[in-house]
Amino acid sequence: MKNISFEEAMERMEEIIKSLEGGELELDKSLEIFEEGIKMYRYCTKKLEEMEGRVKVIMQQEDALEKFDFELEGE
Amino acid sequence: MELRALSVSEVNSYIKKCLNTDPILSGITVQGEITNYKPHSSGHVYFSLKDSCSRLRCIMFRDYAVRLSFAPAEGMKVLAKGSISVYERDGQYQLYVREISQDGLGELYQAFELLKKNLEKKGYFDDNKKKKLPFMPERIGVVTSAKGAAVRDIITTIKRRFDKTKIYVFNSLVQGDSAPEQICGGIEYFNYKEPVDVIIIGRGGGSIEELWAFNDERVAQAIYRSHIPVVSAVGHQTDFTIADFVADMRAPTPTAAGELVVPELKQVSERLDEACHRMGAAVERNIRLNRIKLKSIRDSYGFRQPCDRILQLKQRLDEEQERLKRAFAVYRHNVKMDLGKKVAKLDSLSPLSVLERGYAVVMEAGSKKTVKSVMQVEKDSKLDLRFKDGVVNVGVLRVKRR
Repeated sequence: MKNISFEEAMERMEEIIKSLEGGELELDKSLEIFEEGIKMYRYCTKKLEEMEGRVKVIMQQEDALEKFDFELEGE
Repeated sequence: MELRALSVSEVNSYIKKCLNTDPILSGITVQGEITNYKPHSSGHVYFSLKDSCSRLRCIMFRDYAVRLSFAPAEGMKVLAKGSISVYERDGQYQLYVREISQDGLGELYQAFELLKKNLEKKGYFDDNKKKKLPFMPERIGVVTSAKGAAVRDIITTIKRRFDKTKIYVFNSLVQGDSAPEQICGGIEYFNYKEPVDVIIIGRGGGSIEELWAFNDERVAQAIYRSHIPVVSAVGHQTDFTIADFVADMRAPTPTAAGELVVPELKQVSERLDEACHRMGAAVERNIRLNRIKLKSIRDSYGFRQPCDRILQLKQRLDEEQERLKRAFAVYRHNVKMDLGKKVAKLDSLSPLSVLERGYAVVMEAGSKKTVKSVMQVEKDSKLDLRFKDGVVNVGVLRVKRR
């Protein structure tokens, strides 16, 4: 679960849906991948909740770079 | 003949007349580079044209300046059409410009085509080298002017769609000689100093010269070398630059770049919820199907057969039991009947019944032993005669044997 991206988790979930909706799976297997799918769902939801937007601007000052919070005019 | 001394005004006026009537100077086109460009609040535009060793002062009146199809700028190579005349107050001759067109477009275009061909040969534009944009970047690097309209468009678009992403704006010049170097610096900054998931480089619309930094080979190389996917968003829909070809994705405008790099948060949430719902529904359906299958197996003929057999055997057992019962009853009846007959026969054979009919039994006296033959009897012995109603003791007088 650590090294998986949001997109990979989404894709895995969609694969799982396909398998589950195909209805070819044995019950045990379908419960197993269902559990995996729910894990992916929780991972994605958590990730979305944790993400936080911010805008920074990096300015070149003489020979150094400086970072500021960026404010859009009219905001 | 010697002329009287002339006033300054007279000299300038005379020169002006000479220049104005000159067939060449009254309608010429001058090629040069714009310098000291100063648009005045009146709408008139002042500048100079220069080449490597000389300068010519120019003025373009407002009526002509408003008809310009592009914004002239410092360093721009132009063809200026107009006439030479004198500004009498300063005794200054200058070019009165009526039209300006950009010079060297042909040259620029050639350079563009050459570089494009060159880079194409090197594989810079190959589709298989293009990196896929991340679906949902957590960090976005933008290389552009922090003061331009482009950055504003990019940021507002991203925030409107997906306000959970971090945006880093690397402030860079986007036109002029230093622009390519600064743009490269921005791309490298995000590759090595401040890791982001995707880089947008771009600027708003402008003349071909203004966009030229994005046709620089150094910029092309920086994009090509970037480990991070690069989206180019240069100018308007119709402007194509080298950067657009090398970039992993070309956005027609800065706003479009914002739309390309992030999904809509609402859609992502909906997609997630739908996925969760569908998984649940599918697994539920799977369980239900299995339950139905189980029931149909339980009810199937094959599964029922063993039970059937048992039931049949049970029934048979019941029948046999009935038969046994009936047979036993008959048997008992027969036995009873037989016994009756035997009792009757026994009755008829009973010595008592013989006695009844008037016979007597001979027995040795004092014993219960019957005497059945003469041989058993001796003279002078004693016998008992048993009658039906008592016993008579007698003595033997004579024994006559046959």
